[in-house]
Amino acid sequence: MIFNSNIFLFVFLPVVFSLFWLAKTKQQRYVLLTISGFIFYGYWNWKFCFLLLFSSLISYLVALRITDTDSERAKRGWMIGAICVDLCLLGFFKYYNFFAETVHALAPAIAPPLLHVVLPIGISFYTFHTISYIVDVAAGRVRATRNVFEYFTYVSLFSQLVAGPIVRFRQIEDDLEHIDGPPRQDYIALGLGFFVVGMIKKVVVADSFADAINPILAAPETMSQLGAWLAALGYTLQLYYDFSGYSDMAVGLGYLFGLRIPQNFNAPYRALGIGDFWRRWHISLSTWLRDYLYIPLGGNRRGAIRTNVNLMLTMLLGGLWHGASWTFVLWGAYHGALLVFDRLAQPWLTRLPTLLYRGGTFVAVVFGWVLFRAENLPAALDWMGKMLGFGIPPGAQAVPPLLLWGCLAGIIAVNTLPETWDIRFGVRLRWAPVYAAGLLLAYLFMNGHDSPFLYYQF
Amino acid sequence: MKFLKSFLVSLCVLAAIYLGVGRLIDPRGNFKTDIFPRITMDARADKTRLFSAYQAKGSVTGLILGSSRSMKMKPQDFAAVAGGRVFNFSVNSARTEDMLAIYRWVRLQGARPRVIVVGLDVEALHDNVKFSSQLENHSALRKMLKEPLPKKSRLSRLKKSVTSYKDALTADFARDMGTSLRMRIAPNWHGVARFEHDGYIYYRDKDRALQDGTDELDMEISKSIAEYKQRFGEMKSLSVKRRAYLETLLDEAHRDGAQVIVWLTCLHPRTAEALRQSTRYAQLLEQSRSYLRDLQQSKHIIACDFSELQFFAGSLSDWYDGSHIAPRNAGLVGAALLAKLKADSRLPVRRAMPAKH
Repeated sequence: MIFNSNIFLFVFLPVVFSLFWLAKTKQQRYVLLTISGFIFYGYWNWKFCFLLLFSSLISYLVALRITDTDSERAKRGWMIGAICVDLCLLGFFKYYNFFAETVHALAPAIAPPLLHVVLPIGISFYTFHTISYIVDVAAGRVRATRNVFEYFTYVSLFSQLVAGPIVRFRQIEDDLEHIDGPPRQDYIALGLGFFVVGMIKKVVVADSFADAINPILAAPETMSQLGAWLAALGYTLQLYYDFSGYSDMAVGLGYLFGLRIPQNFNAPYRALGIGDFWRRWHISLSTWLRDYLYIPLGGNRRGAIRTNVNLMLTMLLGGLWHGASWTFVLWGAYHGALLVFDRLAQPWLTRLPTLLYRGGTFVAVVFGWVLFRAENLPAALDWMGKMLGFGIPPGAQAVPPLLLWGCLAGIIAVNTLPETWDIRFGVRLRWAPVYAAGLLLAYLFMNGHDSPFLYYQF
Repeated sequence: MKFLKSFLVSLCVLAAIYLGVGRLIDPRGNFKTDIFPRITMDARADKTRLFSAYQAKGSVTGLILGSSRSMKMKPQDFAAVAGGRVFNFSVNSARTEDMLAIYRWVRLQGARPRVIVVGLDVEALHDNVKFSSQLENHSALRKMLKEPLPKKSRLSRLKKSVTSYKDALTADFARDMGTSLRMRIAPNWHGVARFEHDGYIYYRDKDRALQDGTDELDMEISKSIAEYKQRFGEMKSLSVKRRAYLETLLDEAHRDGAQVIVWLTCLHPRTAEALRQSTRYAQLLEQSRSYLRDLQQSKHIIACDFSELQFFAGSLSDWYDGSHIAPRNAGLVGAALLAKLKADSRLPVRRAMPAKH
C-alpha cells in the first residue's frame, strides 16, 4: 500500500484515524496502531508480516533481558546476539542473491545455489529501527518498554515502516507515552499541511520529472550530451522531491496521530561540501550511520588515517544498505572518497566563493546519482561518459525543451524555496480550505497513476 | 477536530465544484452534456454525422475503411477510379467488426460504393480484445452487427457513472477542460485534430510541426513502442471471429458489386523491430500476409502488402509517430493503391491479381 493510492486515502487512513481517536486508552491505541501497521505491511505480502513480527519480538525480548541483567558482559552478549539475528535476516533476504550471483560469476564451482530470494519491503528500515533500540537500551540511553504493543507501535508504525524516516525509540518515546491525549488542532493542521505538501512534491513534481527523463534513459543509444546532463539533473530533482515528499507525508501522518516524526531533509542541494550534504540528506540514515557505525568504529578519535578509513567504511556500508548491487557499493565508495577529500581539503574549500563551493558540491552529488539510477555499472559509465562528451552517437536524440526549463526551474526552486520544515503552516480554521485545495490538486495528478516511492525499493 | 471537519467540508465542496464544472464542460463526452466542444476523437460518431451530410450533397461511390492509420488517405485521390465522391470512413482503433458495421450502415444510408479501400492493421484481427467502447456506445453502428447489444443494468450504469466521475478527477481531464474551453472561445482553434467534410483528418499541431521541421519523431516513436508492446503483448493469433467479420464484409461488398482493395498497413521500422523482440508481432505479421494472399484467391479482391516501407518506397521520416504515416507516405500508398485499382478497374469485380506488391 502506498500513501498516494485510493485504498490508502479513502479506506485505510480514514478507518484507522477514526478508530484511533475513538479509542480512549493508551493500550487500545497501541493495539490499533500495531494491527494497522501489520495490515499496511501485509497488503504488499502478508507472509512477510511474520518476519516483521519475529524481528520485532526478538528485539523486544532481548531489550528486556538486557534491562533485567546486571552483568555488563551479559548485556553486551544479548545485544550482539540480537544484532546478529537482525543482520542475518537482512543479509539473507537482501544480499544473498547478490552474493550468490557474484560468486557464480567468479567461481561457479564453489558458488552457493541461486535462490532468487524475494526482498521484503522495508526490511532495511525496520531492521535499523530494532538495532537502534537494542543498542540504546544496552547503552542506557532509553528504557526498555515492557508493553509489547507500545514497542510494536514503534516498529510497525505505518507512516515510517517501509521507507523511513529511521526513527529511534527515544525520539518518540515521550509521544508514545502520552498517546492517550486528546487531539490537538495544531497537530492536525500541521499533519494535513505536511501531508499535502509531501504529496504535491511526490505526485506533481517528482513524477513529472520521472515522465520526462524515463524515455531518455530507456534509449541510451540515442542520448546526447545535453540529454545525459538533463537526465542526471532530472533524476537528481526527482529523487529529492520523491523522497522528501514521502518523508513529509510520513511526518504529516505522524502528527495526525499525535506523534512527532523527526526531520529527514534540510535543503540538501544547498549544501556547502559533502559533509554538509550528509547533514541535510536522509538525515535519519546519516545520523544512524554516524551513531551506530562510525562512532563505534572510532569516529575521528583515532587519528587522521583511521578517521578516513572509518568514513570510507561507513559510506561503503551505507551504499550497500541502499541495494545489493555494485552500483550502490560504488556510490557509497564515491561519497566516502568525497567525504575524505572534503575533510582533507577543508582549509582550502572554505576559502572558495560560496556559490562555487555550493555549485561544486551539487555537481558532485549529481554525478553520484548517476550510479544510483543506472541499471548496472556499464550503463552508469556510459551515461557519465556522455555527460563528459564521450561516446555521443551520431543521431543523438533532441531533448524536449520542457525538460530543460523544468530542470532550470527545479534548480532554482531547491535553492530558493523553503524546505517543508521551514514553512509556517497556518493552524487557524481559515487555512483548512487552502490545504483542501492542495490535496485536490495533488489528487488530480495522482489519480490513475501507479507510482510507488523510489525508496520503497530499499 | 474542528480543523479536520473544516478541511473535509472544504475538500468535498471543492471537489463538487470541480466535478460540476467538469460535467458541464464534458470535454470527453462522458456525460453527454454537449454544451462545449469535445476534444477526444470519437471518429465513429463524428464520421457518421459527416457522412450523412456528405451523402446528402451527392451519392458516395467510394469508401475508405480502416483505423487511424488510414485517416491520411485522401478521398479525392480515388475519386476518378470510384467515379464520384469518396468518403474516408476510417475510425480510431478500427477492427474488422467496425468495418463491417460501417459498410452496412453506409449501405443503409442509400450509398452504393463502387470502390472500397480497406487498410488492414495486423491488430484489426486481434484475438484478445473486446469491441471498442465507442462502437458499443454508437447504437446505429452497433445494430449493424448480429451480436446482441450488451444489457445495461442499473448497477452497470451506476458503475459507468462512478467511473466517469473518477476519470474526471485527473490532471489530464482538467487539461482537456482547458482545451475544450479554448476551442469554444477561439472558433478557429480546432483542437488536436479535425475531420474535413469528406472524412480526411487534419492534425493541427502535428502537420504544422512536420512542415516546420520541428516535430519530435524520436520521442513520439518511443512513446508508440511502449503502447504497441502492450497492444501486441496480448495478441496470440488472428481471431477467427474477426476474420469472419472481414470475410462477411468482402462477400457483401462483392455481392453489391464493389471492387475491394485491401492493404496491410505499416508500422515504423523502429516500432516493428521493438515488437519483434518482445512480442509475437513477427509471426502475426506473417500470418496476416498469408491470410491476405488467401483472401485474394478466394474473395475476388486486390491485396497489397504495404507492411514495410520498402514495399511502397516510403520515407523513414514522414511519420507522426511509430505507427501513423504522414501525408507524403500516405500519398505514396494512395498512389500505389490507385495504380492497382486502375489496372484492375472494371465493374463488376474481376478475378484476383497475383499476390503481394
